[in-house]
Amino acid sequence: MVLLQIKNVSFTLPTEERILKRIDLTIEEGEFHVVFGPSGSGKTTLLKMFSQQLRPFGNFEGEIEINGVNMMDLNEEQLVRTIRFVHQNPNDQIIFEDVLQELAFGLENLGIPSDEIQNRMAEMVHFLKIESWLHEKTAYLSGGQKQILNLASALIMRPDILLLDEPTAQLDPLAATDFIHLLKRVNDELGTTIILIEHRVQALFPLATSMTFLEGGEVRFSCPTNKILEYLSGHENMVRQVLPPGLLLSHDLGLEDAPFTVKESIQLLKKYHISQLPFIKDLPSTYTTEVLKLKNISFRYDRKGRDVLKNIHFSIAENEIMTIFGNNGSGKTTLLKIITGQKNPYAGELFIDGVKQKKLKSLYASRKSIGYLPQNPLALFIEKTVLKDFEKYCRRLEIDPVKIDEVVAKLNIENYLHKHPEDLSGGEIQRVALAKLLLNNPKILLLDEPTKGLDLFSKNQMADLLLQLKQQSCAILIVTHDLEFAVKVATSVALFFDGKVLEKQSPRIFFSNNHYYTPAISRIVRPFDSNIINYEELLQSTKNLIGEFK
Amino acid sequence: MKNFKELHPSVLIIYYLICIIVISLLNEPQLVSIACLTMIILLLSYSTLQHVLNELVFIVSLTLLIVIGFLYFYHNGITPMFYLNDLPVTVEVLKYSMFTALLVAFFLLSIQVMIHTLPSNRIIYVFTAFIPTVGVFLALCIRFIPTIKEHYKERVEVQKINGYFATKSRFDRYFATLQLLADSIFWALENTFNKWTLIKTRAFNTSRRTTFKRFSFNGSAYSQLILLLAATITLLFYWDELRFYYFPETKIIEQKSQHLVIILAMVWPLFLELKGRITWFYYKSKM
Repeated sequence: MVLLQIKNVSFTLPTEERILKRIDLTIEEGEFHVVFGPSGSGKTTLLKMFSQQLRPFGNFEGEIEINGVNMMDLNEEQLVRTIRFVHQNPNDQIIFEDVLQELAFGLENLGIPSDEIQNRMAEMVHFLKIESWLHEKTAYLSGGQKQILNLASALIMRPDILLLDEPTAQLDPLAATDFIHLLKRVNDELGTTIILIEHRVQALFPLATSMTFLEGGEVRFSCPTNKILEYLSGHENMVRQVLPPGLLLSHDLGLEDAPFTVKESIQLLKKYHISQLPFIKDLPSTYTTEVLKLKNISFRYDRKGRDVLKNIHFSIAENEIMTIFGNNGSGKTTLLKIITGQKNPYAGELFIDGVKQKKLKSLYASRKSIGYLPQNPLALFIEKTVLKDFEKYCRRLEIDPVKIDEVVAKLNIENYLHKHPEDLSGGEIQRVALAKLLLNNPKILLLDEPTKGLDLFSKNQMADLLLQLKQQSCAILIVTHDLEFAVKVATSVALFFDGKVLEKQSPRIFFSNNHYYTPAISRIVRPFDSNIINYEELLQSTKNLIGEFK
Repeated sequence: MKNFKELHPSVLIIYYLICIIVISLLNEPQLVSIACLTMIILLLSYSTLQHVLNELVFIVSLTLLIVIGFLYFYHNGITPMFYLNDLPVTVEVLKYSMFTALLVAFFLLSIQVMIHTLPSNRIIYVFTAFIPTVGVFLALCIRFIPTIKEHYKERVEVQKINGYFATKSRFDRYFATLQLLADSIFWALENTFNKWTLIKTRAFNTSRRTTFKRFSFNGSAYSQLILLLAATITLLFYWDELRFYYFPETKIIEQKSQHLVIILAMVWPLFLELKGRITWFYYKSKM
């Protein structure tokens, strides 16, 4: 039965910029529908069309029907009971200081009696298993807990449709996986129709019933998940990147199987009697001069608290890209703050270019030659437009303004120069922020979640750029959850655990030794005694082997 | 632990309202001083010493600025201490500026205590029955300054690392700091409007609101209300006697019984806190 029908919907901003162009989409009841596409394609704007309050100012055309009724004919209360939202940034949605009030607010607004509110809260808490932090303050919850709280606040209203806009963007891989499986549980056990915007589409293939590809404000295709390969031609660039490695491998090898999960991919390889895959020799990276060294650094936020960083000891060379993984809240961002001088360790030493760094006493002092991309890239911008901000930055640091053109061309951000930074999408602001850092030619780049909100195409562009910078002797330290991105760019990888950075290893050794912090390809090849970590190696090795058995 | 914070939200709102009105109207030195001290002690019981000290550093700096400002611009009074640009700087102005600055300190400290004792849900609870929008507006107002502070701190740290303040000119650095502060204020304003939008997406003001939490009036709430009522009546009936003035000559500070009524209403929360802690200590001893 058709639950949601989007008919010829277009949306134009007052600046005449058309964000959505004649969108036609049909969602059946009970579907788990995924919408994907490049950054700036209009995905978030499409979601905002479902709410009068969230809809940006502009010209809306077309119709949206819910259960056969035009959305405009529904009053506010009916709409709220039918559609609920979960947004990208967990903090943006939370209104109250405590969890209980956050859960109850929507029901209070609908005039639900107090006893029923208590009952529904009890039900939701048990269903989502959040008893252990029910009485916490919302400010002290982790990112994953906040998103679950947002989900609970939405589900408690018992909506027919749940709309989620990249809900896992700020979560570590394990928390993201848990959240996605929770959504599937909601879909299966409650029958709630789910429409999910995501960039991490690979993991959704086993769960999603249908998918829509949005590009340039238009629907390129919309189909059941198992039919997506039929749409590969014509959209190869984008669609290939979202396919799970097993499915992509099957397609590239001309096989009929359609494995979505790691387990199915392993079974596919075994079906073609593959018992072993190559074990590739790991060539050690050669580094030149050490530019950054941390020696026995320890730090805690207050005297009576526990050590957040304990005897951290590692170094980075000038042509090295080091990636650090770890759960949210483990101390990775604190580590970056120590390097930049925002925080001072109580023990240990920091060396930049062999020079021991002193504590920064002045409010206005900074460590030269460091570029820092924070988790919230908007914090880098002050002016009303991107270009004004770049020009001010160049004036302040006495940089030749010609550098702006160079950096703009490198990152392909011409279209964003005259926009307000807050008007850019998540992926666009990441690129613009990186461009600003590059204006000053930093020797050391510290990137905190640089691929957050980026689509796969933009991630590849960023990967290419970082590799270019590495060639230009820039040392790069990346804190990220993005395993696939690390496979592409990292020359060394380490795990952050219990306040320490564990032994630095090459990506191949790190990923092939891990079970959880490792990309899907690594998990697929593990039973075959292989240390392959990227798709090209997997395709190359299996091509001949499967060709023999076909 | 049943203490001042656990009183019915309407009692808390009435307490803050009456204290602010009474202290502002009278601006009497001993009342203002005791009011400030009360708020500092309450803040210490809800927050850490470090946080309170940080707040006091800011407040003391601000009060010093106010005193200096008043001394520079006001020349009322009859007892000159010295002359500035041929204009007398008098003892009366000094006293007035000190206690007005202390009054401002009291406002700021009250807001800090309000943040701890009146989370958004309590304010909205009080106004749910008649004007829910006012409740939401008040709740967002109280949280406006902490929002600015958080945003400003984040921006300053990031900008500092990337060399925004890397200029030899002190004026440039101060101007840059002010620009960041202005940016944070506008952001907080926009954030407040965004929060309001989010509140509306959750069906706020679409029908008659209910509440899931119930607050009740207990003995402590009644005692506080009675004292506040007594303070209000005292102010209304003894306004001429209690009214304090600084010019042309500062009124002599006297201890009156009417002052005691007002002071008792103001410091009663401290007794409630003490009672709560003693009771809790007793319960803990039984565990």
